[in-house]
Amino acid sequence: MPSQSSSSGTSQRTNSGAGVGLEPSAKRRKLGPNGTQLTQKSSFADVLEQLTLNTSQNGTSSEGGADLWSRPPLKPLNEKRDTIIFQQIDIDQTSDGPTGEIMPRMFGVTEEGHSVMVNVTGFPPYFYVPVPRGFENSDVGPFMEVLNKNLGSQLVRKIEIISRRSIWGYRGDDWIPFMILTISEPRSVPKVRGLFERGECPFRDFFPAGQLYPTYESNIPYVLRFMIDAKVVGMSWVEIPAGKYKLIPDEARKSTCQIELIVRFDALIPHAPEGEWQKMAPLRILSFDIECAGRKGIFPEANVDPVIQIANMVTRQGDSQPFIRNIFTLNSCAHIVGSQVLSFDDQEEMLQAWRDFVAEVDPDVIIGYNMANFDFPYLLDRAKHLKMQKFPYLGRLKGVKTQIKDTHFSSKAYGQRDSKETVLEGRLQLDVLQFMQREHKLRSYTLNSVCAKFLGEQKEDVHHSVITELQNGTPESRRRLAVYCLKDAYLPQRLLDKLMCFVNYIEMARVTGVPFNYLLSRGQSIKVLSQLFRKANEEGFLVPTLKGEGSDEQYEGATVIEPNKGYYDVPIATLDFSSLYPSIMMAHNLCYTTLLDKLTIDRLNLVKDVDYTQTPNNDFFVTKGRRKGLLPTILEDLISARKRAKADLKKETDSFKRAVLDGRQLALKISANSVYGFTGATIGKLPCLPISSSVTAYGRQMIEKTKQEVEAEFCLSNGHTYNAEVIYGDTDSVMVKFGPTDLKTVMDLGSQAAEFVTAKFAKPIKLEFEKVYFPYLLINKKRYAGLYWTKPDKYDKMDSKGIETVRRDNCRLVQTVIETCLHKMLIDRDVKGAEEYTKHIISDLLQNKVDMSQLVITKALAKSDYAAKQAHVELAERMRQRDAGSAPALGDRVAYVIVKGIKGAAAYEKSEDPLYVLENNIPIDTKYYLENQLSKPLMRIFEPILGEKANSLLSGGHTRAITIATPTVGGLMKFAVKTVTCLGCKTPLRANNSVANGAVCHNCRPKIGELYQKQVTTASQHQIRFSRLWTQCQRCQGSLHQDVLCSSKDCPIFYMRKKAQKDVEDANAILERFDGDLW
Amino acid sequence: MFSSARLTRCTSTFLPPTPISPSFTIDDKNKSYRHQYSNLYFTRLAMLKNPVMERARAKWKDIPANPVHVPRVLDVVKSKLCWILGTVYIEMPLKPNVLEDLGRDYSIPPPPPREKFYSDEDSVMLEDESGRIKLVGERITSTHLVTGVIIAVLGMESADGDFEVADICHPDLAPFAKMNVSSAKGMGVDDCSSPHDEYLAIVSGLSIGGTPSADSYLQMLVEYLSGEAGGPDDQILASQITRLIIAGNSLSPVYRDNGDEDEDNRPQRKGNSAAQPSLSTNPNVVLSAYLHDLASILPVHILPGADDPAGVILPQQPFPRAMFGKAAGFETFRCETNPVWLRIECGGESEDVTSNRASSSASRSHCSPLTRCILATSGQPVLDMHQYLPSPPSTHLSIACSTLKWRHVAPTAPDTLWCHPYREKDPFVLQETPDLYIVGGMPEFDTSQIGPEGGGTRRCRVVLVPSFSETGCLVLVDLRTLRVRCVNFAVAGMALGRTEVLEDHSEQTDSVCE
Repeated sequence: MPSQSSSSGTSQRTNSGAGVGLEPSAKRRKLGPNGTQLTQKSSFADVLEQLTLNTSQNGTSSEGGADLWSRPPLKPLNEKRDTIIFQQIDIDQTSDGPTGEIMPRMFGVTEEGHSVMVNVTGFPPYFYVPVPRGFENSDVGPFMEVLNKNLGSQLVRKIEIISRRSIWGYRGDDWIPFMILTISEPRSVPKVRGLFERGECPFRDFFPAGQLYPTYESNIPYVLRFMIDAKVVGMSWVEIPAGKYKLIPDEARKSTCQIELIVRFDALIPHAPEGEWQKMAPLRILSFDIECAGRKGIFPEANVDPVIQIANMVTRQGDSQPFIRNIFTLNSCAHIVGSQVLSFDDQEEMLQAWRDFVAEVDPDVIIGYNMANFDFPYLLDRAKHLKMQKFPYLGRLKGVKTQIKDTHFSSKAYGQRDSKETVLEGRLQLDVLQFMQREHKLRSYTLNSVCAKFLGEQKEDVHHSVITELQNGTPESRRRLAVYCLKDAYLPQRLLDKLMCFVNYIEMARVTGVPFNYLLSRGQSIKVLSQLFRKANEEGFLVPTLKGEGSDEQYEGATVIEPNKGYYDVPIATLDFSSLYPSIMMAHNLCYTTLLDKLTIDRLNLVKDVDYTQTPNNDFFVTKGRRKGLLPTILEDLISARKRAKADLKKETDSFKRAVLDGRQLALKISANSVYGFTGATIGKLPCLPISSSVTAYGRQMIEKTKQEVEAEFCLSNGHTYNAEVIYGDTDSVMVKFGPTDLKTVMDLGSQAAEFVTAKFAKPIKLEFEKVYFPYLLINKKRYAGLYWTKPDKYDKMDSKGIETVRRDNCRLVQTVIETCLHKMLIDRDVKGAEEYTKHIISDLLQNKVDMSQLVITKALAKSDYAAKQAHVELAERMRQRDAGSAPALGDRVAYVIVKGIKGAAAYEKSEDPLYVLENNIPIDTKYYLENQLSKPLMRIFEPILGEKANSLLSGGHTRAITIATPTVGGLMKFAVKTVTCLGCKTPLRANNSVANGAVCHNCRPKIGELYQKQVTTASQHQIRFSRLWTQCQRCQGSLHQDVLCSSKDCPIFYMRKKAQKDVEDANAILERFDGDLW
Repeated sequence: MFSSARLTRCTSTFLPPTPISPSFTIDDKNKSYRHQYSNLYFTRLAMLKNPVMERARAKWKDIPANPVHVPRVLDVVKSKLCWILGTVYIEMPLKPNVLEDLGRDYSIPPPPPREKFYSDEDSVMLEDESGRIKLVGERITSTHLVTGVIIAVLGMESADGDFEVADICHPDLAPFAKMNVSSAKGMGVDDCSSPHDEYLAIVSGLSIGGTPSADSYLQMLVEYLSGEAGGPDDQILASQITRLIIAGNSLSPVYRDNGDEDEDNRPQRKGNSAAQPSLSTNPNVVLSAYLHDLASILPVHILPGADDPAGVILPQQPFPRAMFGKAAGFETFRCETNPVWLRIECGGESEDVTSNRASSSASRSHCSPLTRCILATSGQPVLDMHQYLPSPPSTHLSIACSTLKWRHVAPTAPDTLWCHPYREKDPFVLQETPDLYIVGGMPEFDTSQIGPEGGGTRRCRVVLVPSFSETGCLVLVDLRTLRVRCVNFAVAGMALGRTEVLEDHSEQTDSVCE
């Protein structure tokens, strides 16, 4: 590299980068004349330093934790004396054992931080079929032979007959005989099941040919089956007593774990995650991020573009900071305080070193931002392209190649998603992006905007084309990139901590009993299924395997009491049924096991309302007296566990334990609420519409009844001062206008009403009074806003439902305007002010005064062959024609604004790049923004207040003044002649009415002083704006000597600062005209 | 009018600027706003690197541990004594933050601007082209630094990656401009102990259009300068005043709508978007009249200031001459930039055109000409830096003195002081120390003399000029001796033209600026 001579500091920086021949020709000025590319150490570098400080206090000295890679060394174990207790994190199946049989395999970590792999023998897969009438014990042997003959191999190992009950329907209390078919391996289960389902096991006419014969519990994943039978839940602790296991000698080991052993299924001691077993092992969490050197205008492709940096942060679960921080860089990189820099000249070397690093650090959890769909596939594809044989071994198993699988995820709740999955045996993965998409509804899921939202900081965004430039620069420029990359590796960890993702998911896994990795990769129903199986098996129930055929059968949903729309300036009490659906199921004993049909009622002579009840949906369920349902039991357990967790939470002082408890109660709540959905999921594992329809029917009935009861009780004729009115009700809550205007009275009435109504319903249904809205803006069904009070002296917050404008095809202006309006209406109680404000904004919009960043709409360019034409795709195409280099590539987010087009042009034709618009003064289609973006949400919130008059907001006098920018490109502008006009009266200036290059016409000359001052004021504002914005960006990037490179379109400053640059030049140019004029 | 002798006004000559005391006019080459501020920092560091390096080398060469200079701050080796050089950046949570302003709730009125930025959470960084390192240690906390100054620090990197500072070296005063030989001789021979001291008068903050008392002060000022007021002593003194500098804030702040631009404008807007400006020209007319009076008496230099209708960004560009009507007719009336370098030759043959040129040579035939180099600002940089530093101990005067030692007039630009994005130079770097450094727009009068650390005969006179409309203070500086006098005007029967000679306590104030 050229020398980084700093002694040549006196040399002035010039615009040419031709000083040193070694340097790539420098288009940008930042490649200085002496080859010194200025580097910054962003303020994130300060964070790195801080981290070193903290670790060094813990007795470590090596930078970035370079000497802490390995796990703590293991003392030799004695099979006879040492009991092994570990927290299992991942369970899969293997045939690696000595016998070659399929068995479950658990991975975990001990409390001391040693990694463990346990092979469990003696647990073959199995399922049940009901024993046909007349089938004798002696038939078992021959039947097995027939089956195996039909299957063509010895897949069925054993058949036994035992007594069980089906979970489906109440048929009295008799137990019936079932066969357990033990199968050689999980893969063959469907094959065997298929014989029954298709009626292909002709055995003495017991199983009619061609007819479906039901099987039970034949479609549960083998691993889950194991967990259920072993009473192991996700992320729980497992004990293997001394003397019951065999250590696997080093030479026979299949994994890289420190402890590898084999144990019989029945020797396992599971510990339920209660009490001390709620603790966590010191899991190692690796957060990483890669950077690739893409080509201009093309999103990086693994076959072409190299991986240039990989940043890593390793944190021990429960620690507040990472103990390993390092970065692998291609080519040299300047020192970064607090981090270890590992530089390589060769890409293969670097990748291999990284793989070895992962192997040595042996992380239990790997996290990242979009790593599942980008980082992992890219690394593996790149290694494949480079023909690196030794790279793709990132899991814990020796000799098992890491591969990418395409997965498709489809769920009613989360929608459909195609993604990639990289299986890393023994390691958990948590892609924070996927977590975000699942748990939070956001405008944008870029790391920038997620950080801005949850961590409250803007993140510098370096475009991938700039990355290549930095990489091709100097050690300093690569250092800059490295700091950026390290930050991107650290942010997922911080988000993980801040949002408690990991802890909450662990508790979810524990509560529902599923393996951790199901939580992101599978839907809700497997979680309920897991709980159902556990409970059912305990009580001798078997779960039938239903052919998963989606039915379109719809049932009536929740009821809504027609809203009495309007703006209420009196307190509105809200009465909520707490956990409505779970309590209905409990109160009315609704379950698979209690479901009755007419035949059974007649057969058993059951008496209505004594033995069974009829639901409003005309289904029949037996009462608790006859049989307590499983689902109500599960729900009771969940709800009482939640109560316990909440009580513990109140007492707990340790912040980490609090977090665990809070995650637990949240998981319990979500689980309780998902049971109802499970019974209604028609493409689910076990849909039962009589249950779900009855639940909603009860719910509807209760809401109606509540309305009647409240209105009948709280009325003038009962001695109250007002007639109460239920103005709205939905699903599990009703809004009551009691009438009085003071909060205290209404709150008292609310509590009374809640108690009064609760008494009318079966236990444990409970109507609760929680809050009062005052004032309250009821817009429509599921759309309302109000100030939320729980105590009479101060409001808690502003609450709004259904009007949040998180829709991503909205521009930010909509959000700002609606939020401000609501704020003015509800908090300031100033409806007039809200109107004024709205008019003001509309007027500003029409006069082109609204900041560009408020108008920008962003969309990701996912694929280019959309069937329907879309604004952002069209724009990307046009930008490519203009300049292929800077055009957005596939995967980029395209930001656009809608500009004025030819009359009647579709919106997608009028999209334009905001920067291009700024530079060329292209007029914005303000009408589009008014009519397509602002008007609907505005009408929604103003109509209940102003009624018909609301329209005046969109068409009043304030909409008359319109300013349209004069574009410098396109269409007519080729023919237009620019005339200078008088700054006073806009008269075109000509030789006969003004001074050459002057500011005003002769008529306005007397006013020139005023005009000058006015212009100076304008210019000053622009100057301040320019300075403030650009210095702010310097501070954010953490460097003074380095140009700001950030192009974060999510940052509110980005467009503003571009505009400021142009505005200030324009304003100064006008100012100069005064110099030429006569005063 | 009473007159014992015919007095003739002394004259001085205005010389063109030199390459090292540059013009602050933004020329066409630097006009563009396309550049970022990093250029300014880069050139600043490049311009000041060598002077600091030389001084640091001399200062630390005899230290036993034999510290080495590490050319790039990132290359500092742990636990090894060394010294590094770079730009100071102070991270201050209380600095105004535009992101916060944008993010704040619009329905709540903005909090009032803070008087000071400093807090316990501030941290000091040293930055060069390679990166940044955090400076810690008692020496750093006790030295009052501001963002943007170039310093060298001696110390070592601690285990936690900070730089523990043992000593600090700043550039110290730039060399003085070469005195022209004849004038130096003239000083030495001292045959010029003529009674005719030659004064430069400075006033700041006329604030016309503000308080009514300002007008009466101003009237007195005109009368005083024209010799129409006061006793014979006053008249003699007045006759020795050769020119007047108006250092900013001549008009009271015009209505300026920061940020909330249209809140107030809007209701008045009635359809016609080309609404006539509502700004009153009256103060400007008044000012023009006074300037006309003044310019007819003596040469006048007017600088724009923070309150004046001139761009806010530094360097502020001159008022358009034409703005001042008839005053513009005088050639000796000059609109200057803020800041501005002025070179004035006094005592010599006058080439300046004044009304009484004919008799001037007779009255002062034997004085050798002396060139004085003057740097004047309207005070924004000092006021901005004042926000960074706790006071006490820092005072406006100590800060002004510090800027000379830092060799930079406005180090906090552009971080908190708005300035033009220069690309090829940093005009605020002091390549020479002026003889006289005038800071206008200050809350009170103060002065001191400052010389280079190693001693030396020449010293720079620093003068803080307070707002005239509030204090009635006219500052006179003797261009030969650099002695300072204050003429205070007061209404309501106070003695007119009470003058104070202030050079004596200047030694005390000197110590403040350490």
